[in-house]
Amino acid sequence: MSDSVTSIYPVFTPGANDDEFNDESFSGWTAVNSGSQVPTVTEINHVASILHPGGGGAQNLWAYMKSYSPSANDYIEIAFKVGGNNQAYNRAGLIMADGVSFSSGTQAVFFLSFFEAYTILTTYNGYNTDNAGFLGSSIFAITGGSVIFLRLKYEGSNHFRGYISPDGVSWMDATGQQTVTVTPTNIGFFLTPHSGSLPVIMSVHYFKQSA
Amino acid sequence: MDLTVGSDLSKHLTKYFTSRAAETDPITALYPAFTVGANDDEFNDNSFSGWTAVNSGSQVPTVTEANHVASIVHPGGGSSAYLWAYMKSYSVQVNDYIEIAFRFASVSQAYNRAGLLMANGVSFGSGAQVLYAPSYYQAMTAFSAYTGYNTDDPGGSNTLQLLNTLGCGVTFLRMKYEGSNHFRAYVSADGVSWVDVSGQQTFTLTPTYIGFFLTPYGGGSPLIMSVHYFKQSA
Repeated sequence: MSDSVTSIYPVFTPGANDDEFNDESFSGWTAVNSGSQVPTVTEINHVASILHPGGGGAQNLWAYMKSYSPSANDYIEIAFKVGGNNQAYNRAGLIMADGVSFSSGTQAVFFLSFFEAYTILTTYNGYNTDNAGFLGSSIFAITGGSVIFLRLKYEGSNHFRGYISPDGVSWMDATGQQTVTVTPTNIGFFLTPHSGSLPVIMSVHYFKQSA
Repeated sequence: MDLTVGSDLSKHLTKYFTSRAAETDPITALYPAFTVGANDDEFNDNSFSGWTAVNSGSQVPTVTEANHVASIVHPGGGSSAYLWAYMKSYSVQVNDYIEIAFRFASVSQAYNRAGLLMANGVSFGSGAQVLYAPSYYQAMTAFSAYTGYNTDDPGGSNTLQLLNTLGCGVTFLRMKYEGSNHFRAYVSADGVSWVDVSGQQTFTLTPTYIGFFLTPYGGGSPLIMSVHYFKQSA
């Protein structure tokens, strides 16, 4: 039963690639694990709670992906909380990619870098190389400790845009149109301690793709 | 089974289902339940009504009431210090307070603010106001006098507190009128326990309107205020 008075995000009808993490079984996702570190995922209490033990190569991403080729103006959306030690550079957010093999392919990522207090839209290669620095970075100005709402939109022809929201109802463009050279065939989300040796936690309320 | 009204089994079942219905979902409860008064709003009827909008200049925020929030998007822009407010007529009595729970998002710009307001009118360009709000860019809460919904009077009794006293995610604020131009500001982490963060402050205002506001304070980028509830002390 959803208590709409106090629900964290708007009610929606889950599609094939959506997940509200409410069946206590984390399934349907392809994990891209970088190196020997393997996060622990616990689906309970209507979240996917993902614990990364810390460590791993600098810039490596740990991602959970679904096969889907976005059309122009499709977007993906996520609501999550983060927890962890204050270390450079814990990150968590959304990802579109052209494959799910570590060390290959290109990824467009839009994420919260909570050590830096930024949201960033940028290019990755091989799930392990931050290839283009900051693109369309913006200072993260959502009240601390909140549920984070992010949306990553594919606008076709290597163009992407990132949005933020406090509630999943209203959205604002936080990046402008940015260019990442990739035609995505996979969608998902990720976390990384970005070489930090201490654990980091991402607790995901929902992931969804535009209908 | 004897399920007739008044039977022992009937009483047990009634007690069980009554207690279950009164349970609060610990996963998602954001604030304590309260009985909604005439000037209160839980934004739960999908229609944003009963508020007088004070719009400053040509910028007009978009308000969407859905999912039990009033989600307000300001497009950005407008002159520095202008406020965009939503007000109700009410002559505030001594020791009355107003209270709000909301979330906020924007890019970083000088000086996004959103919070509570008491005023003696609803005409842009006139009257006096007292505001209490986080100033996100400054990482402070501002508790200060305004005039005309467009002029900040940050001197004198203006009080600033660190934003991190506000705690997590949903921001809970309370502003109290103590009579004879005296006001006090509180913060909470949950809407249950409240802490005085200002002491008694003096602002020259006899409030006849209560409400809330947001402003980019001249910043050119949009901002969003998502209000869970507004209420006035009984």
